[in-house]
Amino acid sequence: MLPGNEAGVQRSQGLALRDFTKVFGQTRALTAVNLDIEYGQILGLLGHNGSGKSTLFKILAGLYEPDAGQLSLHGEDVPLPLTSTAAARIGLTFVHQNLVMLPELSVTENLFLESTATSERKRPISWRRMRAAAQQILDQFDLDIDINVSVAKLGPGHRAQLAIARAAHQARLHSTSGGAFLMLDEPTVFLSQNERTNLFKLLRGMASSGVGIVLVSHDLADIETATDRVCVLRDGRVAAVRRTAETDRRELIADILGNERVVSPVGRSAISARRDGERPLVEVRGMTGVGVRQVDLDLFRGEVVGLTGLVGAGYSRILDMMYGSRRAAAGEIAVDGVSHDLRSARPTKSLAQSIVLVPGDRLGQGLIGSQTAAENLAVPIVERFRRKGHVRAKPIAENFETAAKTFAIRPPVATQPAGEFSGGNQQKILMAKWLQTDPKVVLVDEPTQGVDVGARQEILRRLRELAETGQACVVVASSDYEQLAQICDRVLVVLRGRIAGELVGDEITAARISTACLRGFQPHRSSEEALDGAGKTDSGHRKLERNVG
Amino acid sequence: MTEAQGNHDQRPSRAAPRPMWWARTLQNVFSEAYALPLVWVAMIIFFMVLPATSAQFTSAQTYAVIVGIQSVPLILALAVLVPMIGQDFDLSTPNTLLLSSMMVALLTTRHGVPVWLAIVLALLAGLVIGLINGILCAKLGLFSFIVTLGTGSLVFGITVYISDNQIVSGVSPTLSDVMLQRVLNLPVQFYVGVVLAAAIWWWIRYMPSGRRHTYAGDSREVALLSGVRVARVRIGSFCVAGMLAAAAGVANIAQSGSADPSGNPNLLLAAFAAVFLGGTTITPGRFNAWGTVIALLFLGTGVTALQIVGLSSYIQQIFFGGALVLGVLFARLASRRRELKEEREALREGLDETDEILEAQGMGQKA
Repeated sequence: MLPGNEAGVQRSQGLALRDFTKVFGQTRALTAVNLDIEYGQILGLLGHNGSGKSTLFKILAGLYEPDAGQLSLHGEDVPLPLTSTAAARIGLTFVHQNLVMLPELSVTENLFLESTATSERKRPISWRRMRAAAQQILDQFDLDIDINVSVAKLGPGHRAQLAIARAAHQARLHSTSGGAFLMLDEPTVFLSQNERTNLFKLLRGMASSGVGIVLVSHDLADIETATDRVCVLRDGRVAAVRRTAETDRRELIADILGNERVVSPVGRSAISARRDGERPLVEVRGMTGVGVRQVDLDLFRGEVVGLTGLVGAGYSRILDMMYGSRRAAAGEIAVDGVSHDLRSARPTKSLAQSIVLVPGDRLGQGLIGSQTAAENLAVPIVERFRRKGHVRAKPIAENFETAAKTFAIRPPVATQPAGEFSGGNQQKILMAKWLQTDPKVVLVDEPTQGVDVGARQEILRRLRELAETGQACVVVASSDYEQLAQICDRVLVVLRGRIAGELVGDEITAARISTACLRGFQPHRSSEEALDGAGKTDSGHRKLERNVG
Repeated sequence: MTEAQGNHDQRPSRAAPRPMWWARTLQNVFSEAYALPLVWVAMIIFFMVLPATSAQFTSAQTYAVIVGIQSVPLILALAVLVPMIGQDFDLSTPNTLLLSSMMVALLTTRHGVPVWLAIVLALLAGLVIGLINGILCAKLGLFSFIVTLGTGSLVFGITVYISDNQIVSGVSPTLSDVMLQRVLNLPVQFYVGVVLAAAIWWWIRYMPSGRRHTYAGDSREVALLSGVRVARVRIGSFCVAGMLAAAAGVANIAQSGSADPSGNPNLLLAAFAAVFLGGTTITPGRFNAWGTVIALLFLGTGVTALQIVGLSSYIQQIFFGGALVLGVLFARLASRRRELKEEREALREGLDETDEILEAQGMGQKA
């Protein structure tokens, strides 16, 4: 019996992956992964970032060559790496989040985009015939979409359906084996409940006609509803393969997380006493915009607040809208009691109010890679270096040297271009750049992405210090739950643009955060009980159930 | 129609049949797409009534002249159009026109080459220039605007060199006879332009290669991901542009009988103005052949009328320059309006849904 395979099934009739292994330098992205993708079944693929999901996908897409492993169809070996012709012959198609559509063109034309793109025919197109063929495809999958309308006018749900119908049609067309496999990468991220339901109906219909489907998703509700089996990857291995009907969310979460890792927090202040009667430093009311809905926040001095959720949840956007780098459609922000309309928030105004944003895209939005570290540091405070009408180089360099000592920037070379520093040191330069302005509110987006372990701890410690000694308010948006557990006093979980819940103080563990994100929000049994617990927390939010995780 | 769909999967249903061709035409005439032709007609009526111009504008001869003057610019505008559909600028086209004229002139008058051969060689030169432009832009990834500005200058330099900076005249009357012959009072070379426009229209709409060109112009990334060989498509479009520009050069020499190395600075402006203004009509938001034709004739009518009224010839530059700016402005406004509408819709959708989910989970509306 092959590990990870269902009991009793020796040979797969569909696509069989055996012993897939891929190593990148020191990281083992995949280790001995076995997976069966059966015709007519929907398989869910679950796992956190770094679990090996995307590596697996990329191998099947032909982008990587595995270090070990065999692929077979009906028991017949398929040579790896997978070429696009080989993939087409197997009937393997992908639908990524980039749907590959030309929105200005009609549904008809988009359905046949690839056909027209690769067509060798020298004869003119018969639009009538193409329209008829398009209608046929839509009828086959029972989709209610007008073939003459431009894709731009369709909602995301219909676009997704179109992309999937197109993929399935293409797969069938090219497949020499007569079967098709559809690999869907997070197709439901921006879809409404209704749109999801329709999508799953489409997938179920396809499965009944024999298409094998793999659905990669973070959303356990989706997995529960749509799949027949679930495969959970963890740390590059198959943690479990289960029949969806025979498992539940708790079990799946346990599979995803493995053993709960104990993390010693860097330090966390007692917050309960402080809050009573104290006026929040920052109050956000009714923040609304693309992907953000009616967000209210109360942020206090001297605390570190975490913002997190699943990909696409919108937590980074909340930071951007507070700062003004992204447009909000409605809402207000009050700093120290002075209120401003979020619609007219701009970085210049935020800086004037002593709010800074340390962006996640270091070289794209934070630092000028081609400029020296010293120059980068000087950008927000250039005025300080003006003597007698022009900016002097020496004070700028000295400024950097001081910062290099405080923030442990290595190497402390003022003239080195920012782009040549390591990720961790770039992050330190970026933080130094903003912290030297003595901000009251520090918004940080993914502070340790791409940062080595050593620098990571330094940065986290600094953020913690900012809040405790500096009495600034620090808001950290991060997808790294362990980090948040290390330094946050409170963690707000964002679900599709809304604050769905909050974890406070010792409740905060990586496991609980993860569970809260995956499981969604669990309402209280009655509203009275909810109000009881609401006294200590921000208005409009509710605490998550105590027994999560 | 399934029950499960709520009001958010509103969008057009299968039930809407495609309206008949005459219904579609009527629908179009009263839409943004036909604004420019209507304005053109209105302008003609205006000049028919205006005392200063009514004499000329009620004479068929005037229209023949207007159209005749625009024959060469039309072919040049089509040369600019083809790569423009793919979002590539070809600023070398007027210079290729000039080189082509000069080549035909020199070859026929000084080297005894038969006219047809001279034309073939000129077209070949256009092809080579297009190939060079295409390789520089598509394979080496250089920005077409700057590159073609450069190659254009190079070509101009070559033209001056081979002609010793002298006007070359005495071109065989055979060519002129053919090209300037009147059919229905309009010169043959105008019809050549119209036929070329029709060919381009048909190619873009009905040929797979034309569709691929449109895809590459809409989004290089999506085109690539769909399997279009974008580099090849772009090189092809530059080659076509080069040849069309050379064809314009042949028409030019037929019209004037001599080749002047100093060129005509208005040609570049007129061609781009026609293409950009043309992009606001027929298929608004998209560069297109018929729109280019109409835009050019519209501009030509305006300029001629103003010249008849007595304004001097640099009215041309003001008129064309203004048209170019307005054309680009309107195009931008239209796309901005579309963007805002999409943003608002995305906003509405993305937000409404969160309510649904949370209601489904029992959280209910926030006060």
